[in-house]
Amino acid sequence: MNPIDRRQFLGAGLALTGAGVGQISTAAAAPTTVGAAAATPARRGAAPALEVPNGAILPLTRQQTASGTVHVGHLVVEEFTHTFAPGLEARCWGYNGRTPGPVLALPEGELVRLYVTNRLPEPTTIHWHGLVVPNGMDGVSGLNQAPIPPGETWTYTFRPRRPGTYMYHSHFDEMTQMALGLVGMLVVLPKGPDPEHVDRDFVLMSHEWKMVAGARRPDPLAMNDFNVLTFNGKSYPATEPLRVRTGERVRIRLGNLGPMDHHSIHLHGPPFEVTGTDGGAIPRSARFPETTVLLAVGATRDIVFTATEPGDWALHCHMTHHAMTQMGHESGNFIGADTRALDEKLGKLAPDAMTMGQTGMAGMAGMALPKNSISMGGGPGPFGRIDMGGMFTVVSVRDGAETDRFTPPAGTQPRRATAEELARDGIVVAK
Amino acid sequence: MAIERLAARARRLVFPVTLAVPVALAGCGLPAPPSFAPASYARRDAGSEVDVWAAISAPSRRTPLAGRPPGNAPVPTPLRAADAVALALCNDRDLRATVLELGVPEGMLRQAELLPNPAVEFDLRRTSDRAQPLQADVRIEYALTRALLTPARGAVAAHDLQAARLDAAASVLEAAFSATVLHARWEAAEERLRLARVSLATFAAARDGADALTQAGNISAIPAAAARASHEEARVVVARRELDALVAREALAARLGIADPARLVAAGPAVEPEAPATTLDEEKVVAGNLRLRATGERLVALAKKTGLLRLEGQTPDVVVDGHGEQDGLFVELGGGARISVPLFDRKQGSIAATEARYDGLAERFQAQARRLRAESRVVAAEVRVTDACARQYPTTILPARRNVLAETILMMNAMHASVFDVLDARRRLAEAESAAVDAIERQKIAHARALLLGNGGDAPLPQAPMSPRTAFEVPGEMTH
Repeated sequence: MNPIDRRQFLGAGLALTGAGVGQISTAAAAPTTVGAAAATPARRGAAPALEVPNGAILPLTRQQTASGTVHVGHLVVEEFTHTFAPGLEARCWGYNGRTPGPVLALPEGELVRLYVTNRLPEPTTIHWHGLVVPNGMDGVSGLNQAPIPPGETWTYTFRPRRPGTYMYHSHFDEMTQMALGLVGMLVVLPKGPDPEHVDRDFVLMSHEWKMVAGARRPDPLAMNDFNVLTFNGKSYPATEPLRVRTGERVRIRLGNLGPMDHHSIHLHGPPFEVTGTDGGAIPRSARFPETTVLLAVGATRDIVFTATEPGDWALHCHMTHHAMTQMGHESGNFIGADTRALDEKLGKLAPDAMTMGQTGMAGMAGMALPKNSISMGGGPGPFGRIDMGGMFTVVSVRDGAETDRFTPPAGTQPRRATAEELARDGIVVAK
Repeated sequence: MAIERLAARARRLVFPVTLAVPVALAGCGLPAPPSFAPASYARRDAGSEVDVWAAISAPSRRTPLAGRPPGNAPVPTPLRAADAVALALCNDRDLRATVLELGVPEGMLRQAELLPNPAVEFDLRRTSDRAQPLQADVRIEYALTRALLTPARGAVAAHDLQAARLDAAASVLEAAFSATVLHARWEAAEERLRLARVSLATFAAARDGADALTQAGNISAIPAAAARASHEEARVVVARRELDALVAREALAARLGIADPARLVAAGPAVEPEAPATTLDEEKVVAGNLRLRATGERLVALAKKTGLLRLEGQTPDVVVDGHGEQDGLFVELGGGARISVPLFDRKQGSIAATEARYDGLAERFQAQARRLRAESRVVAAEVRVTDACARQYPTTILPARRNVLAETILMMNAMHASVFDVLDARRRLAEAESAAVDAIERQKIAHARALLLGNGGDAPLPQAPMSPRTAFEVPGEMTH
């Protein structure tokens, strides 16, 4: 990830704000991620800008009418090539050339008019997940509206009533369209000051995909064995860190519109509280500290914590297969197996093949892989290879500049025990 | 048909290299006999072709086919199809017998062309009267009719000889064809055996892998037992292939007249198809077929024989004679003729028998021609199909199978496939290679048949020395 400071974030966000509605009509014209994040337009009071690692925020234009201000945006539903991580691309469906779509940052209580252009080969709709809107605007195809035919542009108009974290997604041929990426986050910004008084406000959306190694399109028929797990459409090591300063109060707005799986999102380091769901804010009396939050399919969770400890703190789904990229399950369990006889024959029959996994699976990275597939684990870290993948990112807490490298103070890392130490503490290691 | 015209046409019957006597009939690794003129051969450095007709037209006892002791020629290593043909022609005792037996119609012709001998009668007589002088009679007779019909008898014998020569030439082609086919089958059988062993090795590796996983406690006993069963079944397949190869080797060795089949060494993996063959011309196949032409010669001979018999039956048998007699003081000279009147025996029975033979043979001629036409169409179709099939393996199927193996290895690296999938892909590659061997074998045989037909030969395929191959036998499933 290329580090970028908040001044750059704001600059990018303002630039996006200035873009006209009609200009964001194709993937090419859609705002691309600039560095770590894109930010919301200027916010009232001291509320921080929304930060979307690897993502973007939909620019809205303000129009003054006789009945008040209208915020106008344009979503183009289309197919495009999406990069989950370098070396792994797929033809996905999304909004304005990205999946998840750009975050919709809507002002509480003001009229919003969203144009939706359908460039898919089939109809679509948009459901405003968690929002209370006029029933006809709820987006369920056949129930609340007719679907938007391919090639047409329809409008949704509603007034968001309650601040909080929500989502939006297709509600036509949901299995296909959501599995291919027609999902996004929606944040209703409060009229008044943010009651949580956070300094940083991140948006992370989880998703899961079934991508057979070598394939170039997610499989929307999959019910299990999802093997590409993403935060904001990216798998580690392509996920951008959440960079904060020591002592800042941080909110992460989490949402999950993956097809089938819930995620237990675990933050290393400081504990957090869940302050809200897509059903509304949680009363302070009902909150409790925790380090893992279960993020169900179709739910949002706002977690808030204070970044008290500098360092690099992992943030990931604790379901181990969700923190791997393109994990396969067909290799067989070779741990502990003596494969010398097999290897001797295999070497003659297929010299390029080599059995693996006899001593564990950590060493499998670096093998030649099919085209358009990546190693299931990791990337380089400050102390060696990080063998996590998939739904994994880092909350970087720094005393100084956010992009500084963190160096653990002396004596705060494990090291090889000396013989003297073993003897001193009476530890006997059997030979 | 005049023998000159027939011989001229037959000289065009030059074998291409795959069916030819590559090192020349006189070759077989030995020097040509001086009595056999090199001019008899249409030898060309590029193709080492031989004018079979010239060889057959030579005096039968002087052809190298007949005059060379068989079985001593060295066996080239590896043994290629052209070598096999050369050996077969050198060592084939049936073929040698056929060529030697050309002496029979040659002798018959020579005999038929001989004029009858004159008969001389000499008498001495003395009466009881001792005073009478000794009487002497001399009489010379000559069978005039028989002498006049000598050229007609020679013509009949000449056609019989021509028919025998055409049959002998066909036998040479058929011997070469048979050697070519048996060589192709033997090479293919050896290659199928090699590939069956590759397949067996994949099963052995899978068994070892399953055993290792079982011993590590990672899988149940079922996959290991299944892998063991599959391996044992693959051994059975290899045993069958070994038998197939042995039978094919023995059949070829017998064809080549080689006592020790162990001397036969195959050239090795042959998965490259031959170049597509040229198309067959049905009319030329029929017009140039040696057996059919031999039948035609026999028909001509029978027709001429019928005419001869009719002439003999209706022509009075005239024997002319002259005689002299000394009777005392007188010498009497005179002449006469004896004429048999064809009143009752006009060779009606012989004529009827010959005509019946002619009619029967004419029917066979028609049937033979029809069969040849059908065969030429079938062989042309075989050539087209086997060419396409044989090309399909190296250009498409085998690269695709190799790609499957390479991609499966990559998928194993990505943990989306197991080592058992890799072994399965390797086995399927061997299976495809074996199918390619089948296809190329069929192509070679189809080409050989086309060449045989196109050059005047006509022979059914040699008896298959092995059980028919349908598919590459695959025991069980791989262990997962």
